[in-house]
Amino acid sequence: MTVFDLFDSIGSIDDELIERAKQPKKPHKRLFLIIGSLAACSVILCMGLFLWRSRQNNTEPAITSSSVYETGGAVKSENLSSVFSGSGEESGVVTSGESPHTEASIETAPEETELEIYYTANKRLEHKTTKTAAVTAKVFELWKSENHIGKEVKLISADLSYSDSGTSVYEYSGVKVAAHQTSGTTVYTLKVTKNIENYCDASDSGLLFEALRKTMTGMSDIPPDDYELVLVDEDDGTLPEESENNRINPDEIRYNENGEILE
Amino acid sequence: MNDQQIIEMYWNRDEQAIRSTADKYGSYCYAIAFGILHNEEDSKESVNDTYMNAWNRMPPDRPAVLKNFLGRLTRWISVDRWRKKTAGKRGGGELPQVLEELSECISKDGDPVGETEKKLLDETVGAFVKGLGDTEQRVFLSRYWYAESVKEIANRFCFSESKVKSMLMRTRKKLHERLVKEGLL
Repeated sequence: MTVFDLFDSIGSIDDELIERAKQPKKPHKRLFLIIGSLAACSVILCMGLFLWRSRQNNTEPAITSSSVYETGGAVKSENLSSVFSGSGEESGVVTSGESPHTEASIETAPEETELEIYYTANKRLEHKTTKTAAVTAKVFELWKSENHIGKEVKLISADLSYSDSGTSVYEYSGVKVAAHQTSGTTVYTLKVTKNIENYCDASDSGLLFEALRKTMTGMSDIPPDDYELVLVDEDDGTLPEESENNRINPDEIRYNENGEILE
Repeated sequence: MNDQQIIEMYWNRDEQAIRSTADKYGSYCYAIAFGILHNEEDSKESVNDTYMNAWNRMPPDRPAVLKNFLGRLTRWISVDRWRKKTAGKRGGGELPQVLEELSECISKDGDPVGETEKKLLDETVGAFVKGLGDTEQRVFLSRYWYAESVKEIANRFCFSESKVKSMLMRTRKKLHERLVKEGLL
């Protein structure tokens, strides 16, 4: 047998096989696997993106809605609506203050918005527009900077109290609070260290506090119904009754023979 | 015009049959011829010889698939032309390599097979190729029927050239074993 005999024999193969040999290669199963995997990944990615966007939207509720979210005062995680914390005479109090709590779910940076920072200049009230995140502590620092207030002046807390009549208010004692408000008035209470008074001239202290009021209440699209500025000592950030040291243990109370309490 | 109409024209000795064949299968036949000869002029002559051969064969032949009938004729004519042209010297193109590879399947210095043995060889090779896996079969025929280069096959099948080469080598080895088993070697 010569190689030409073999070559000729291959030449006499069935027509069908010869025809098929020249046809384009069928897509391999592995190709389907790759395409399928890519498609599945895309779907998962899209779903993840959708959920993330949804979550983003949920963490930025407007004060105009009936829900108010509180971030626990963590500077990094506050957003516009977190300026106000749900509290009220009838509904319990949650203070935003400078609590160290932070929550993973709200660690995303708040969007920047244009805010007006008021300041005193030549015994007049001026203001400038600044693009910044609507974070209470951050806005307060900006206000301090514009008014040349020193670092020793601190923001103790920024609370929003709801005076709600007949409407249920949901309170959660943790970091995050959702209060459903349908009616009533809102009071924004700002607690600042007393040493702010060192920056007040007798003639324009009202102007400085007015600048503070307008700056801090202007963070929200809808300003509160009422505003209150409380000046406290620097170490007065914690209420006495909340301190462990100040609590009286009934077992430790000692009495004298007359039944009087011994100090 | 469909194949049956063309075949009818051959049978009716209508010269239009050759023009119709050239229009429909001219490029196909040329591709086969060029794959073997790697020469434009020789390939064109092989294709013309194919038309003439088809004219002489029909009648009495009535091919089921005209395209494959013409392709087979072109291949045979082209190989014959290549052999005459390169008698005693190594020619260009893919065919020398293809034949060298196929020579691995047979014993060296073999004599041409007789009529009976040729029939057995055709049957054995036909059965062997049919028994191959789909991809293996197509790669084998691309190389040893169409005399395609390894690179062309690799591109068409999205394989690496080394994969095509190893696939062909394994198939040749199997073919050799089959030929030994059938007593042809």
